[in-house]
Amino acid sequence: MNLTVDQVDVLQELVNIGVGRAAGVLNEMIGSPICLRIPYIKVLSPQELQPDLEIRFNGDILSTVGLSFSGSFAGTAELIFPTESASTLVEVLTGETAGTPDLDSVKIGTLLEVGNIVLNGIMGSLSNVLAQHLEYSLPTYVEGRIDKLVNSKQLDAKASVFLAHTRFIIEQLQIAGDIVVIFKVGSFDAMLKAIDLAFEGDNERDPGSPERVWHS
Amino acid sequence: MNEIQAAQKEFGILDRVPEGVCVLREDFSVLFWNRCLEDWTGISRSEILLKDIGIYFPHLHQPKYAHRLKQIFEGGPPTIFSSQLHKSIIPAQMADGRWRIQHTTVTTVPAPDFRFRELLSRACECDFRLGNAACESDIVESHQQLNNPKSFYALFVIEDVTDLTYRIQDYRAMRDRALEEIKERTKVEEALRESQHFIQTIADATPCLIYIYDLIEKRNIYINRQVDLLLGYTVEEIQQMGSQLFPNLMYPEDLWQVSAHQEKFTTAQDGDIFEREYRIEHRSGEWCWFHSREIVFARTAEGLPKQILGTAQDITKRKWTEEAMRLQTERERLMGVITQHIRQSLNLSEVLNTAVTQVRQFLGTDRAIIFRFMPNTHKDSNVVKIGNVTVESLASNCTSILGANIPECCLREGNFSYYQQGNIRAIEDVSTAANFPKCHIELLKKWGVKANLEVPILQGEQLWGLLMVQQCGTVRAWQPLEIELMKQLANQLAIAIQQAELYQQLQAANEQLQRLASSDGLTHLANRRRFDEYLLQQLLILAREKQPLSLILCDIDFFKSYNDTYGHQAGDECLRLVAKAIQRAVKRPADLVARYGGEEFAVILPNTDLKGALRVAKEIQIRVKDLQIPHFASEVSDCITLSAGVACLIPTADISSKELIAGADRALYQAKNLGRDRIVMCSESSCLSQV
Repeated sequence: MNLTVDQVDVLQELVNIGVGRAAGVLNEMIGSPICLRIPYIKVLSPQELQPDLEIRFNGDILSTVGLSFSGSFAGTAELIFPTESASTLVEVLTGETAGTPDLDSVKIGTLLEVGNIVLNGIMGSLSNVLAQHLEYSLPTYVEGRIDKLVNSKQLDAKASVFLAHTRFIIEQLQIAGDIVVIFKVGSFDAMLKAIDLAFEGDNERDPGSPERVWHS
Repeated sequence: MNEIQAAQKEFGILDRVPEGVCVLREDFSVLFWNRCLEDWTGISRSEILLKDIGIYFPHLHQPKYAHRLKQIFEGGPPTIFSSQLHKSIIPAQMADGRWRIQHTTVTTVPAPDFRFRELLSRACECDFRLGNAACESDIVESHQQLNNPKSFYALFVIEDVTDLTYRIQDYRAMRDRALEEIKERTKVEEALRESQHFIQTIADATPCLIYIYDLIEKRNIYINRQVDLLLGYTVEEIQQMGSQLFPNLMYPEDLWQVSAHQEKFTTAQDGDIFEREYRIEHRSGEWCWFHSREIVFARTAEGLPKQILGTAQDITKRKWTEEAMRLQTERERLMGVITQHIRQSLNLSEVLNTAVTQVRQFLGTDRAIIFRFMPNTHKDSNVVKIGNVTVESLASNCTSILGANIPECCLREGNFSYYQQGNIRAIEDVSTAANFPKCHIELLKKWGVKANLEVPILQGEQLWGLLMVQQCGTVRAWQPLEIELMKQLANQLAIAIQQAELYQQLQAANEQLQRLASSDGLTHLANRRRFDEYLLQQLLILAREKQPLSLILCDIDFFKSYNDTYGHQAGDECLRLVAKAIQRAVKRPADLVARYGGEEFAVILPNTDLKGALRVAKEIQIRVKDLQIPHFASEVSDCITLSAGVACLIPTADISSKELIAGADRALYQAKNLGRDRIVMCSESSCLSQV
């Protein structure tokens, strides 16, 4: 799917806002500076998702926190880490050392909350800015290889996948993960329409400087 | 119905769940507080409802909670407060003093819009008054205004995960401990491997065999790599032999002692060391001596010894040395024996016989001989032509060659000087012997000899003989020690022979001297000294036997006139003849005839009474008369006659020889007085009448 430069800019900005909010929450919670960066975003077809993730994560076992949403647009938002990175992240957040790479229920609780914070940031940002109310399910935690994660979604070939690379920077540590938002058929268009609609009005109010607003 | 009642109606069912549930309004005031929370906190709903929750739990106003809750009130996605990052959303203490650990999920619940209802009721009134269409649009507009943003409650569902958390913590502690133990174990195993490697290295570097043998399975369990070096077999080859290990490699004589040796372990205490010496065959076929020290290494459940741990040292060299020492000692012993025999006996044939017997015994040969050369009758020539086997010692399987000669061909000049230089001939196998004189080999073959060792016996430059040891049954490789022994023995023999020969000469000289000292030079009869000795001797003997002893003293009548008439030479000749005649008249070996004085003779007759003595005296008288030596100066006859006095007594301890002599002398004196040429007897104290 081809997006206009403006659409990309808007999406990136929305994600940044959401992530920024999430970082703020995390900072307040753990009391040490944590930074969340989104180097870039892209829109893919479901077929492209798996190879893309495989290149990124190299066959590692992944930890995923998912949040389903429905309403004027529907789909799931996912925060994906290699399990080992996830474990490291949990260690940093809880100050406990993990004995083994597998995440026991203690770690799952922590990760669930972190994913919740990040995804809430993103989804809140999207829904608020677009003034759209969405219904959400409870966040879930899943662990497994990429193929299992992707297959479990039973993606419609016509669905759209919106992917944002994420980087957590805590103290000296950098943890890479991905935020994947999968929109059901038509939902992404609905969202883009909503974006266009929202920012048309904005553009009317401040026609001279849309870039300044979205690229700051 | 007010808001509280509405909330109670909507959420009342949650009083029945075993989790804490409360509902907050946008302004943080509590709209619902379930029974579970009343239990946990001790705060009753009548107390808390419609109050700001911050009054009781001020931390909820902190940004980290407030910001996230704000999203809820705006209709955002559910929010999770995990027990790991928050511990307690609504702090509550349990009876045992611990704080409840809580996992909290906050979800949005649409708030029933009381303001909208107000508007709606107002609108209805309006509709009633103003007409439908306009009113409706107004209501929809105001509804949209109020409903957007719509307002939400926050529904807290608080799960008590205290037990779960503690259980998980226990589990983690347990797991950490297990991991620690595994790590420790890995370390120990690593250390063990290292120490095994260390021991292995030491075991392989130790210059002796280290092994473990299983008594029950009857096989080798472990052996260090030295086995390759010491026996020429690899560890694998040794272990593949299994129960055939000892039968394969051990010396047969040592093999049958194995079970007796292993029997000792059944009564062994731990730490008891059992030592043993035995021979094992090297791969090359050589026999190696080993000295082993073994202890019980492992036991069965019943406490019986199962495995033994041992070290075995190659003592082959030591054994050789010991053997050499033994031979050396034996040789010295043999030398000692022979030397002793030489000292004990100066008898040449005894010395020679001892030598051959001992040497044959010691060397275990079939035959030992001494071959003696006889000096040549031609004194000028050094060449010895004659010789024979003088002594021999034989095993039963050998024929005697005693007295055998060596043919002349063996004693030619070159051959002889070869011996004279002290050279030794050792022939391992007569049938294949080369570089030896043909004649000599032929001789040995004729004697049935298979192996021969000969050494010359030299006395200075002089070749006295040969000492030979021979094998008749088999060939034999003569050992340097044996050759050395033979050499020494020959030297000792030479000395012994010389001593024996000197002794023989001395003995002969002594006998000669003895004879000279006890005999009369003219008549070769016993002299006066011998007479005195013999008489004394016989007196003692016969006193013991209580047997009579007789003595005859006789004197040639008118011998002085004979000398004067016929000269001294004729006198001497006369004495010689008379002496011979008297000697002939005396028959018994114990009788002794002696020249008593100038022309006076004495005859000692042991075990002879007066009658017997008289018979002898008469015999003497007759024999002398029978000589018919003319004596014209005699006043009683025209030829030589004798006067004799005979005395006899049974000796006792208090009778001395003087009394017997005096008796005989008195009788002789009487015979002279009575006119000579007669015999007068004297018995005990008084002389008997003339015969």
